[in-house]
Amino acid sequence: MPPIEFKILILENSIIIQKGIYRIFIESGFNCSIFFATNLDDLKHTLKSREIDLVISNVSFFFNDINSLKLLKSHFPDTIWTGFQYSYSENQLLQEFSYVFQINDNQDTFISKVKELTQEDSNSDIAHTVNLTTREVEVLKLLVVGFSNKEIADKLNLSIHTVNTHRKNITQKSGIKSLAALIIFAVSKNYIHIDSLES
Amino acid sequence: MLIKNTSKVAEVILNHHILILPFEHFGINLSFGEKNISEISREFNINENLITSVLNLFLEIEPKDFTFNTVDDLRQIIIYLKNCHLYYIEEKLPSIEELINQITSINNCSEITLLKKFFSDYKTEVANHLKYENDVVHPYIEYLITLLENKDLNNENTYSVLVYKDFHDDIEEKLNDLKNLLIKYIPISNDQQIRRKLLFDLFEFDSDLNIHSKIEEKILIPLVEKLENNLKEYNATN
Repeated sequence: MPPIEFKILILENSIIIQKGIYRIFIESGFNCSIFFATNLDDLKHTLKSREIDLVISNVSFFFNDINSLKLLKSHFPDTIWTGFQYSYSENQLLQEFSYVFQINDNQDTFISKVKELTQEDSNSDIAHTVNLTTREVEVLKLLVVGFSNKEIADKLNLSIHTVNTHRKNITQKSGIKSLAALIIFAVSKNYIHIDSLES
Repeated sequence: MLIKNTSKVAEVILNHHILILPFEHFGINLSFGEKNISEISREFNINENLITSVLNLFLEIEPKDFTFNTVDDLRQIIIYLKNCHLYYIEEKLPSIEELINQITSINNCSEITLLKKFFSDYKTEVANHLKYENDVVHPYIEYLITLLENKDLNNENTYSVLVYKDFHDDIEEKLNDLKNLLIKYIPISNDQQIRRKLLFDLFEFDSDLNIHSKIEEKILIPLVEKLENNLKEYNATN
C-alpha cells in the first residue's frame, strides 16, 4: 500500500511561525501537504475544499470564542484539532484540542507528536474502511431508497442523533458525501440492487 | 515559486502548464513571446496584480490581502468568471459527459448506468447555478457599477451579494464523490484508458472550479460588499 499523504492545515497569522512550522515538516521528511489559513474564513474554505487530516491552530484565534471551535469540530469531525500557544490561554479552551503544542517544543517532539496523532487516526481508518457495520448498512439501505433521517430513526428504533452518527461514519469510511453518489456506492458494495431503486 | 509581475509568461507556463487556463479566462491567448506579466497586463489593460494573484492562487499561494479597489478590477473579474462559465458549459462538462458515454459503451455494469444519470443531474445542477450567476449575480454587479459611475445613487438595493457565498460547496462535493466512485468503487472493464482521461478531466475541472470559488469569495464578494457599502453610505448622507 502506498504511504498516505496527510493534509495539514496551519491556522496562524504570523508568516514567521507559518514558515517555521513548514520548514520543520519539510526537514522531517514527513509525508504531508501543508495548507495555510490566516483567518477563520480561510480555514473553513480549506476544510471544505480539502479533506484536511490535521489542523494546527494558534489557540488565540478562539480566545473568547470557544463556541466557534466547538462548531468547527462538529462540522469537521474527521479532522484532528490541535493547537499551539505562545501566551497564556484558558484551560477550558485548551481542553477542546486533541493536543496543544508549545512554542518552545523542539523539532523532534513536535514531529513525533504529529506522527503519533496521525498514526492513530490512520490506524482507525484502516480498521474501519474494510466494511460498514451491520447497523450502518441498514441505515445506508434505507437512506438510498429515499427514507429521511427521521423515518430511518423510527424504523430502526434509534434516535435521530444516532442515525446522524451512522451517516457520518458511512461518509467517513466510503469517502462519499452526497446521497446520489451513496446510491452508486451501495450498489457497488451489493448492499442494494439497482432494480430496487426507483427511476 | 511565487509568480511576480516581472515573471516571463512563457516561463511561467512552461513551469506550470495548468496556468494556460487562467490566462485564457482573462481573455489572454497564446502566444506570449518574451513578454512578462506586466507587459501582457498593459497590453490587455488588466491590473497586473490581479493577474499575478489569480495565477498564484492556482499554485496554492495565497496573498495575505487582496488589494483591488477599482471598478475596472471588478469588471475584469466578472469577465474572468464569465469566461470560466463558458469553458465549463461549452467545453469541460461536454468533454466529461462524452468520456462517461464512451465508458458506458464498453462497461455495462449497473454502477456505470447510475453514474451516467448522476452526471447528467450534476451537469444540470451546475448549468442552473452558472445561469443564475450569469443572469442574476453578474448583472446585479454591473448594475451597481453603473449606479456608481452615473452617480445615480438613490436607488434602493435590497439584494446583497452575500447570498451566493455557499453555492459552490454542493457542486464541489459531488465532483469529489464522482472521483471517489471512479477511483475506489466502480468495477473496471476494459475502460482503464478512458477512465484515466475522465479522471484527468475531473481533476482539472475540480482545480479550476476551486480557484473560481476562491476568486468569488476572496476577491469578488469583498469588492462588491465595498461597493454596496459605498452606496449605502451615500444614501445615508444624502
